[in-house]
Amino acid sequence: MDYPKIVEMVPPDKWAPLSEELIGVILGAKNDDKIPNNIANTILMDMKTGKSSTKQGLTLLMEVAVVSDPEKTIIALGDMQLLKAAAEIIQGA
Amino acid sequence: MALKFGIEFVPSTPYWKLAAYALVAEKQGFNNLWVTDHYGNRNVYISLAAAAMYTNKITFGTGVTNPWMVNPVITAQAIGTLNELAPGRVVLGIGAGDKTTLEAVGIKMDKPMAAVKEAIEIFRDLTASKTVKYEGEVFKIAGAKLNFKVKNKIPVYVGAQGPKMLEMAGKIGDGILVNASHPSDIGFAVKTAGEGIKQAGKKPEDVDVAAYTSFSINEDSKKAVKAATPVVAFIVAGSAPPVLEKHGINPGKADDIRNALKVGDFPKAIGSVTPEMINAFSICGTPETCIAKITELKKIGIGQFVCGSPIGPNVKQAIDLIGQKIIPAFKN
Repeated sequence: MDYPKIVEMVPPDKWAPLSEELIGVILGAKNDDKIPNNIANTILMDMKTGKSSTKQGLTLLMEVAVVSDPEKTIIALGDMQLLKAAAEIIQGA
Repeated sequence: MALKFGIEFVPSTPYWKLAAYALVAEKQGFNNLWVTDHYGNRNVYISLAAAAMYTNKITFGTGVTNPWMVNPVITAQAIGTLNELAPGRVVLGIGAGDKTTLEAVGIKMDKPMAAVKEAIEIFRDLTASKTVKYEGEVFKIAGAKLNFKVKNKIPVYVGAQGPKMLEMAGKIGDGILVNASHPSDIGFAVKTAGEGIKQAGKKPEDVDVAAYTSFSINEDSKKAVKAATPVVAFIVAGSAPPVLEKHGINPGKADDIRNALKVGDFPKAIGSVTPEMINAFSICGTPETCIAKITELKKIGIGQFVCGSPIGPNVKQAIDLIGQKIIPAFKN
């Protein structure tokens, strides 16, 4: 799946709220084993430094959220009216 | 004085989830992070270290450790090391421990009051760079010293419920973690600890009394209650008959829950929890309901309100909700 392309579909004013939503999806997911430690550490550092709501941080969160819980990721995108991004994930699944 | 807010995490999830929740809690204005200590979960000190590395402001500590499972010398070493990682942001939370848990690993919970008191004395001396020679009822230390300096005094919070422990906690603690949610229990704790505070010649404001509650919040009250119900089932099952009677709960109903839990019949246990039990042993509901209940506890005299498990049906959303609606209501 082309995650940078999906993030390109998100308007900048929605980066921060979407980042919060995706963090929620990742934290709520049950299959923790799917997240490698180095990726988890990068997400934590991004959260600490505020990078998680940048394009680069959001791309990583999007990928991890889709791996963790694709259904809830699609719902979160739908709730935020990011329908093109949601459709892209559905097609790529 | 503004009420402080704490949050409890159980390290039953990987270190990175706990650290992420700590980050979210810090961002939402929580003052304290408490991590539980149970041998079955991830190690409390390593979990706290992860939280320390990714946060900047939040104060954190064990919620709570005990004097039995880890020798107080090692507790002092661990907390002292954490204080290097996050100077001035570390506290020790220590209580007598859980009898059933200790028995499961072959430890007899003997003289709990003396054990807690002695462990705190040893901890304080070691973290003050003293060489400790100690002849206590429980601990005997022939001559121990930390080979590194702990730069600041570490506050000690004592986990207490019963009258004797509460009084002692008032005397020797910098803070008290009262494992209760109902105003009558918190009122009793504040009054009893107050006796100890008075005996020690301290002022009430010298000791941070924290209500360590079972908490669940959601905009939908039913969802909040549903999340709290399993936790309340375990609390009821672990409560002595006098505690249940004090809250008007029939001990026979508690037996039903206890027996169901024993055989792993969780639906029956959860189904046996009544609204009275929820009210006695948790604070849960909408933000408005929670604010009203926390206000009542603040009036009684608590200095810190700890949101303990389950926090909410969705933990991240609950932390955000507390940060947006609850904490601002107690700023002044």
